[in-house]
Amino acid sequence: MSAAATAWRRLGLALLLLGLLAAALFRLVPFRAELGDLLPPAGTPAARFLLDELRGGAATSLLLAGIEGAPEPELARISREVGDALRASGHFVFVGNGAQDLPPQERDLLFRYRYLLSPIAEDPARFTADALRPRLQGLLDGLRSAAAPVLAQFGFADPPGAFLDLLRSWLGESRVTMRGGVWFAAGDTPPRALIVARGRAPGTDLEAQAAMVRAFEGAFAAAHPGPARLMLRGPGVFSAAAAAAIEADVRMISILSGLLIAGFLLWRTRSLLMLAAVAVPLLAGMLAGTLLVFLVFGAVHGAAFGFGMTMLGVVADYPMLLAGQRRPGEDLRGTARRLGFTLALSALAAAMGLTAMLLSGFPLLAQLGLFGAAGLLAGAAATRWLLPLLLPGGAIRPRPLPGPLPGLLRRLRGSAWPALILPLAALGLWAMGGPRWNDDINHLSPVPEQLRQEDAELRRQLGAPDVGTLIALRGDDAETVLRRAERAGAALAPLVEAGAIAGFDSPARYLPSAATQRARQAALPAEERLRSALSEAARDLPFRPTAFDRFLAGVQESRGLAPLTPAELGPAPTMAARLGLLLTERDGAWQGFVIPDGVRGLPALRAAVAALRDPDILFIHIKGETEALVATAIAQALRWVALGGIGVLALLLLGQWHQRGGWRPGLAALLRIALPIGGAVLVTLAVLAALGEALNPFHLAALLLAAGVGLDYALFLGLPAPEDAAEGDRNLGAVFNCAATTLLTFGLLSFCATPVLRGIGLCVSIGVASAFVLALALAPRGVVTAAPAIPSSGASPSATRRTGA
Amino acid sequence: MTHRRALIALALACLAPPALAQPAPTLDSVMAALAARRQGHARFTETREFPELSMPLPSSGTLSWAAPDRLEKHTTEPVEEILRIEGDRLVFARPAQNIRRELGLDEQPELRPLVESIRATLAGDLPTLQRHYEVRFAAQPDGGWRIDLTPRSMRVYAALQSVAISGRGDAVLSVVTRGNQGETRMTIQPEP
Repeated sequence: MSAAATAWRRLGLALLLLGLLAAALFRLVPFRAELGDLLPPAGTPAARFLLDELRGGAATSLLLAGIEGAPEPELARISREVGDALRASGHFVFVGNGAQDLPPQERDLLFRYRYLLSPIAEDPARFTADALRPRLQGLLDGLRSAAAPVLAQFGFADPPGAFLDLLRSWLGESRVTMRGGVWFAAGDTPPRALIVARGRAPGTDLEAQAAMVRAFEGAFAAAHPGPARLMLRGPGVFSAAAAAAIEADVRMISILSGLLIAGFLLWRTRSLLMLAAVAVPLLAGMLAGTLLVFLVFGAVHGAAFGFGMTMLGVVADYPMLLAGQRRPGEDLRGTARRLGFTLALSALAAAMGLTAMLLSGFPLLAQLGLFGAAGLLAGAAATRWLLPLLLPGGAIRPRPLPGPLPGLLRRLRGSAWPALILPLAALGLWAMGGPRWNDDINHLSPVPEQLRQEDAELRRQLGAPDVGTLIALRGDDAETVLRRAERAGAALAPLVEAGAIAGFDSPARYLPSAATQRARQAALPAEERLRSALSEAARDLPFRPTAFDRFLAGVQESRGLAPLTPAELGPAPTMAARLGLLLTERDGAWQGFVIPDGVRGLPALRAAVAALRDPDILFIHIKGETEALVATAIAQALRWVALGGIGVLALLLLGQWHQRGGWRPGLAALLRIALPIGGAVLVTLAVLAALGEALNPFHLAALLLAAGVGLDYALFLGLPAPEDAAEGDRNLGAVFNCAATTLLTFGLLSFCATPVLRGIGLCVSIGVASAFVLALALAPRGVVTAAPAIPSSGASPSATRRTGA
Repeated sequence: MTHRRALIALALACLAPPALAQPAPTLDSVMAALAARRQGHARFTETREFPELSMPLPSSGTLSWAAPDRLEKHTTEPVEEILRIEGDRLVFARPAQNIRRELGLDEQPELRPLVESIRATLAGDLPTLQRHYEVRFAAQPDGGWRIDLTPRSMRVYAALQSVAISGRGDAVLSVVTRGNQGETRMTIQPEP
């Protein structure tokens, strides 16, 4: 009793100190939640460009919204009110809902620059009498029609039709339909009003993204939506949703698994002390992991911390292994001394396996690896040196396993037959064609599948191009990028003719380079020439001599205009928004996209861009590029894992040589340890393949973890043959408790909504279960289970039970 | 033009005596009469004048109206053209050129006011008319009436300055539209 009281006092003090340290640390360490950290590293320029775009490109500042669930006029009203409120909010560069197409000042600007913006002006033949005459006849014909007001407004000032052509080519391909003055999704589905908004802040600015989302939701709520629902999608929403999904999962797991483990430990030890004792190395591990990740990376990713804490659940094994194997009458310090070497070997080897993740190149995996390795070592150290000081005497008494379990485990020990599963698993895995690797980058994302599908649907309805390939352009200024866009456009034009692609979008389509604008100015006819061409074209037609004065003046004015630049698009929000997606300034450099659509001849497209021989014009096949990216990352991770595995084996061999006093027994012991671990990995891969689960780098991390945990079991079960029955049972019981708690934690993870977490949970649960069984089956048969010892093994637990009761 | 208008006035004056028997029309009585008429057919002739053209452009065809909101203008001369408005949709077709366009009345801000100047008048729908226009009514000495519409929106006004509709009883007889691009006069002869 007094031993327990002392233990409580010391444990309480230690926990208080550790808690204070943790509180201080969490004040100091910044936590981040960027999705970009979940992406693999880039190897090629194309991949780097793509990743930069995914992390913070122009497209990441887009918000797409659908409003549905109410009658159409009501939806139109809400859309108009939300659109007005968003425009007034100042968060957005552009808000499109159909209510504000081409404001008058934009129309005036575009009209003024019509001969610089339209490719018509490049061709002097368009301004000859022969070309103008049919235009004038068409104008006359049009003036008789119901469209006369529009034709009269623009036709006399622009008989070649540069301005109307421009508008048609920009607005013509819209897929939305206009109802009640705003955009609606086309089709007969229940009505859905559509809004697209582009924020001022880039996608990397999570605060601003959150503010945008709040502005949107606030505007919606202020429009008295009634039964209508707002469906808001886009990268900004995704970051928030992903962070929320991970957070919810991690919280659910930590609470549930904490309760389960606490319940299990209480049941097994009937001692609250054990719970407190387990908390000490856990806290120490968490502190060490967080601190080291902070020191190395400058911040801790929320997901790395969440996953890392589940990994550190393994640290709870150490006090259980220690306290569970204390011999009667032995001081815990003695147990620590006796088992210290095995504990150190186990923790070192597991940490070594995890450090492989440090070099994987995924920022998140690297953080996770460091967190896990540091936490394991700190937890093991706290168990080895701190716990024995805190728990003097026999404060915690190991209790035998209940019911038929000890008998079952004893019979399993050293029986070797469960190892028969290994050839079966190998055969099955071979028959299924080996483990499947997942190279779809989307599966690395914690964004729920449904959100992604709704996003794709909104994009389709808004007519946003389904980007499969793109040509990325770089330059020091906008002009350079626009010129490159024009070069790329010239290379693509023959492909459109040949049908290899259906068409393409280019920033130069909206704003030609200044060089092109100047070329168009130079090609415009002088006033006298144009006047005589016009009068010839208008011969016998009922036009007054002054009818086309606005046209003549417009051409004259065009010849003297300074070329339009991106900086002057203030009065032209529609054009600026279109251009802004294709041409952006980032960190002082400019970049642009030419986006082909309806690609049928991928090789021709690739070849056409390659023929430009310009390193700043980059062809990117997005699917191929991201798949290659993930595949490279996986291959790299595998290489490091293999290297880590070899390191672990070498370490174990060294340890066993030291412990067994010779290479030959050391090698034999190494086999006993390595076989269950390798076997567990094999079984896990086979089961995952049978479940149809495709592997990603997170599975790899989970396999490493499972291997590290399995190592504990193999090392402790493989301890030199137990000296007596009670010792053997204590050994079995301690390892069994570890396996049970690990299964409880990671079994729960398999029920997570986040695909990544579910994968890890599944992987570790299967791995740990099979590692336990295999390690037990391949463990040395102790005297306990030898045939003559049966009576004594029967007596021993019953004797203990009597003393326990 | 003035002497033609004088001629019409003269012709109308000859027809005046029977009309005198009725009380002078008011805006409400005209609207009620128009609203009571569920359908109608008419022939029309139209001339458009533009400051840039040295002569007016004539055209002609038929009009048909079916309450509450269907209006079709079928131009037969000189080029066939169909303009049909039903509900919130507008269909514009020129078969000879294989042109057919369908658009919503709200796709362009000027479109709905322009359409409602005629349609809401035919429907006798004064509130709609007043939503888009300042409405002035004048009873003519010959027993006919005249409604002058001035757009309320500055944006619409920039394109369309006034619409003058005149008629007698429940029949619209002429529509004169004056925009900054020119003037359109439509004369309507109701058919039974």
